[in-house]
Amino acid sequence: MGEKLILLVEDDHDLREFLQGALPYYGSFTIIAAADGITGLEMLTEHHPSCAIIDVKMPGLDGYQLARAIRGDPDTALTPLIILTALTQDRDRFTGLASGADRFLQKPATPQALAETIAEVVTQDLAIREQRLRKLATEEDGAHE
Amino acid sequence: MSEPALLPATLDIDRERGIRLAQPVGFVSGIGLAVLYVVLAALSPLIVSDAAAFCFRLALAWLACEGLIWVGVLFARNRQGGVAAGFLVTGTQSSIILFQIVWASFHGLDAIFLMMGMAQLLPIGLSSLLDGSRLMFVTMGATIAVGAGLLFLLPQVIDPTFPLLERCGSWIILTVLAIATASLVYGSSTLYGQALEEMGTLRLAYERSQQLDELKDQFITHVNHELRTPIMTLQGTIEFLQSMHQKLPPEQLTLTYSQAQRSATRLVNLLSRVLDVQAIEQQSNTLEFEAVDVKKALEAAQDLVDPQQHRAINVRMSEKAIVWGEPQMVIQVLMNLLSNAIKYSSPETPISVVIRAVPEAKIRGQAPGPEKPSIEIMIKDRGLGIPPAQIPLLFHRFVRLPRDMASSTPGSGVGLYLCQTLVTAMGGSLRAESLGIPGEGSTFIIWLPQPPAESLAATAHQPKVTIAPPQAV
Repeated sequence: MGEKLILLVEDDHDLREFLQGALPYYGSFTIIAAADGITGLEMLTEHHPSCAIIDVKMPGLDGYQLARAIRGDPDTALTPLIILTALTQDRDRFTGLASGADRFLQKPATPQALAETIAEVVTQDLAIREQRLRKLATEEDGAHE
Repeated sequence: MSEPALLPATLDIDRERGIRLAQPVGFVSGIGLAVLYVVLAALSPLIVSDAAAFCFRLALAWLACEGLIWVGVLFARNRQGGVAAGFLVTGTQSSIILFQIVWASFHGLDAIFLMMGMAQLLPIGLSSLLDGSRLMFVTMGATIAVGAGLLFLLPQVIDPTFPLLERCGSWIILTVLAIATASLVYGSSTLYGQALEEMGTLRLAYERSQQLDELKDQFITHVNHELRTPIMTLQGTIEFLQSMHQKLPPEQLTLTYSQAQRSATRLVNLLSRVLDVQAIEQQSNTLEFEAVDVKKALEAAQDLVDPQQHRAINVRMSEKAIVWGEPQMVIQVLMNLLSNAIKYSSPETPISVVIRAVPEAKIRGQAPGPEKPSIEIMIKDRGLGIPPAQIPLLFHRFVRLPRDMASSTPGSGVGLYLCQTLVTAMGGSLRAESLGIPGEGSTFIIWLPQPPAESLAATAHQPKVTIAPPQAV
């Protein structure tokens, strides 16, 4: 399959450092990390990772806003997103809007679970993903009327 | 998330409003009408034929009545209310008697008796509304006596053929009516007032408990969230070590072990901070104090918060500072405040600690001062500052400022509440000052009492680190 580039956007220093060091052992991943939403967006547009893992609660641009920004830019809109959240309520904020995530993982999530999720989303068929995003976009338009 | 605006714990009833309204009215009407009365009495020969004698008797009666009322004011439960009631009663009675004179001039003396009932009724009812209950009874007694006097003196003097016994009956009825109405007015206004007060207190208690519930929920959500990240690291490192330890180079193993340890420590600290508050609240009666060297406590706190000394903390103290307290508590408070200063300001900004002695504030009107001679510890940062409106909320048990809730700054929200509880338990005080301007930062000021005179002979203790203090991460 080859090395997949994974972007991790997580503001907690310990968790970020740990995942960056541990995840490569679970699969052929290279992890790049950002400590806040804005840096994360910059890195995403620059490196075009195969998938991005985003923490919800961050200072400045939070996970939700970051996801919208990613979906809003046609250049990055198809990037698979894995949302790391501590709250089950966050699901609702993400689904139903065009910033829909591909997967939700509630903290605490083991590196194994993360790795498996990454593997799932990067192999997902591109066509299916495009279709899904188009569907989400029309739903949002419908909601605005 | 809405800003918590704390409700007061007790109802603030404006008891003085009635008095404030009554005073000027009573004063004006009392004095003004008395003057008017005198003027009309002087002019009365033109109005009533036997006016001189009539007015004289009425004046005497009036004076006696008012005099007794003012005696009653002396015994009023609420002096201010009594005085206000006195004025109001005087005013209304004067106006009623004045009205009586005018009425009598057109309709004869018979009509006066109808008026007398009213003359008793109104002032009594009014005085009772002003919470001068003794005053009310004195007024009642006075007007009954005066009424009886008027009844017997007046007609006999002016008209010997006056049908006394007939009038007696109607007078008694009117008096009874007056007493009944007055009691009703008094009783119902008191009950009404009490009911309002009770309802208000209940409603306030309910709203406050709702609010505390909300705050507690927010707190729980917040703590829940804050626990999950270090738990994820902890769980993750353990799983990682379990499944991968054979593949890992030694440096990675060491790193992973220390990552696990750090997360575990963070969790312990978070829990300790939460549980500490409860423990302190329960224990505050059984504390034993001793002399504590502030400088040494500060150094211990600094060591625990920032062992690598990443942040420079400028300490200024003019002389040796000893406070009377519990060493662990002093360290804990200093740790919390230093940790906050570090957290909420950027690394290149300075943090300063100024320690000095402050004498007790003996004179009112001066800047606020402690009750006993104390040591002041002022911790100042140049961070974001705190909006002044939110400063009172800082010290509430579960509150974190809205800006902190949205950020990743770790903290359980009990930090400042705990600090204040500890400082208060040691007989001191803690307050915050800030303009809310980023760059100007915030200042936290602790006052802790100096050791009492008899213990000054003893040397200051080195703060011992005995029961596990919050660990350095």
